[in-house]
Amino acid sequence: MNVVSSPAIDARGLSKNYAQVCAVADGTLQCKSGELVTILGASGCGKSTLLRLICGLEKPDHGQVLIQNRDVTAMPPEQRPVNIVFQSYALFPHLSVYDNIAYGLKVTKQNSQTIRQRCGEIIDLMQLTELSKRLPENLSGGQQQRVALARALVMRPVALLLDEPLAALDAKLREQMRAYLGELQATLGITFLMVTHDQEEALVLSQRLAFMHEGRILQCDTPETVYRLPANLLIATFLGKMAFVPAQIDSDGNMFSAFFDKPICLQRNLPAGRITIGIRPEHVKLHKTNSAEKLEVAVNVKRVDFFGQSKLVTTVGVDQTILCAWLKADQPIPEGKLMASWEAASMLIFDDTGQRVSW
Amino acid sequence: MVSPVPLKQAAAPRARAKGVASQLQITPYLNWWLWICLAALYLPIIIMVVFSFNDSKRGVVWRGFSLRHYEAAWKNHDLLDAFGNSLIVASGTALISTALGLCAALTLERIRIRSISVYRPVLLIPLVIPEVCLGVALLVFFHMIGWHRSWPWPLALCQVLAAHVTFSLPFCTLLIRARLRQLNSELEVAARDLGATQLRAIWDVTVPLLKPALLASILMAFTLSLDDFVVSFFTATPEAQLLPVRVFSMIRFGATPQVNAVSTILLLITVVSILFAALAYQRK
Repeated sequence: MNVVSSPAIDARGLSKNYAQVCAVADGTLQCKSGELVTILGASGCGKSTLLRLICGLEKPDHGQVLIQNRDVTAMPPEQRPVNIVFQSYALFPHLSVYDNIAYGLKVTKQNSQTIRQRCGEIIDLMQLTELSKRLPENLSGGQQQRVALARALVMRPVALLLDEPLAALDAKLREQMRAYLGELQATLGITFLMVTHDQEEALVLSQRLAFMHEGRILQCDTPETVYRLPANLLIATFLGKMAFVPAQIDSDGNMFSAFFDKPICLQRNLPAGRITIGIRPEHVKLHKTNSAEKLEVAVNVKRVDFFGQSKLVTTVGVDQTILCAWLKADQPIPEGKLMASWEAASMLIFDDTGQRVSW
Repeated sequence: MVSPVPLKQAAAPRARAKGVASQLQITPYLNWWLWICLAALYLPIIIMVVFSFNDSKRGVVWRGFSLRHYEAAWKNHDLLDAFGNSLIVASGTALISTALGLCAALTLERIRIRSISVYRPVLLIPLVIPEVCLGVALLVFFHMIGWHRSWPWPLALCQVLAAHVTFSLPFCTLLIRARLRQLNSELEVAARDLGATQLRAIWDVTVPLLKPALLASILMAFTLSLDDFVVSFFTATPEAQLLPVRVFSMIRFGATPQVNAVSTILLLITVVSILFAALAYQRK
């Protein structure tokens, strides 16, 4: 189990086309042993296909899949040491919970002693003892999810692949199962590779987050890094809230925008040209009077959304650019005309191709 | 004195709520029409069944209840042989065409090649070909490939068995494919992911879930084969006659109530197996 040096999953340049539609263009991804990696992306970005390529349910047009340094690209799914949990759970409706869990061991011809022992262990771990004789149709969504997990984990896979595991559950249960998945992964120490379109799920659970768009992985890093320093505009738009302000930089390093009333000298080396500024609402402060901040604009409050522990204030600048700010729930919103300010360091700058420029 | 008006008013909303059922009551003609249709369909059959119990040699006038025609049929060896042949051919047809139908349905649904859309209609064409054409075609075909017509019984049945499989296979494929499309195809994929080969996954997961459709298909093919006349007439050899053909040749020498008795038994088997097929298909 301790193959620390080699990655559990190593996907190299996978691509897959369906009748001229490109599902995965460049699937390159590494999961270290014992790591929880999520692939985040909008629906149709190819993340599920990438997962199916890794577990062998689809054959790639190009590229390689290595599991623990062994090339498994040509291997059929039944021989690969990874298992998948489907969004629909795909529990066998004609088999009891116990038989569902034991199926993989039976079909790979383990002896009955091993089957009984390993099924017993996993049933205890997943707290399914009382349900073991039931048919899947008599289980709730959360219970079915646990059976699906148990059925895959009993195979002791090198990595567990999860395809939108929480999407079929309702909001409250989803949050519980999310915590449960995290704990389970920490307890077992098995590599989890999870596909999701839910950014909250990805941010909370993953040790590393891979953002996928149109069949390509655009950034793969810790959730904090991806959130704080998104590689490009697409990721910045998808993850969290961000206000975007179009601007222009001249050759002297001065920034012009209709949003600001005066040019701003950034005193840093930025290439001249068209840029987009990204500002997260948590970095924006609202106040009545002018402050010492250099980056400051006059805004009008447009809408206030209450979120329980905090509220999101949506404001409009003079050129109708929208800028949001998080306020504490009990913090009053100053009346009348407001000033919005933020620190220069918290601002993200994207060049005209949409890539983030570090500055 | 009771006024009829309030009664009518009270009845009106209820009639609307009942929909189709009340429309039948409102228009009694429709009701009669239904009975006329049913009578046209079932009266001859009912008369046949009733007169199979008639205590008379010619069977035109009711002379009282008797089982003598059943007894006579039981003692008629030609008839019994034909009945036995029919059962063997029907059972064989049921099993073979269901097995082939399962393979065809799996191929049509699971294999992803573009030319598959050509095979779908091709498989269903025998459904609409007139049976006479099929019978003639099969006769010519068997003659051309030099099938031995002189093989002894039970091998002599192979020819008619092959012919019966030909026309019942499309029915079986249709039935099984319809059920297969309702199944979650991820189940089979999940079995493969857990270590089963493709064949094992089909056997462990798909086949058990298709059981109702397979049972329905077996009974349907059995029934189709049992009461087929046209194709059997063209393809059965003299050594291995089937029941419908045998009955037909008996009628040429005058319809005896023995024929009624045999037909009644045939009817019973057919109705019961169709009933079971319907029940099996409806069960989830």
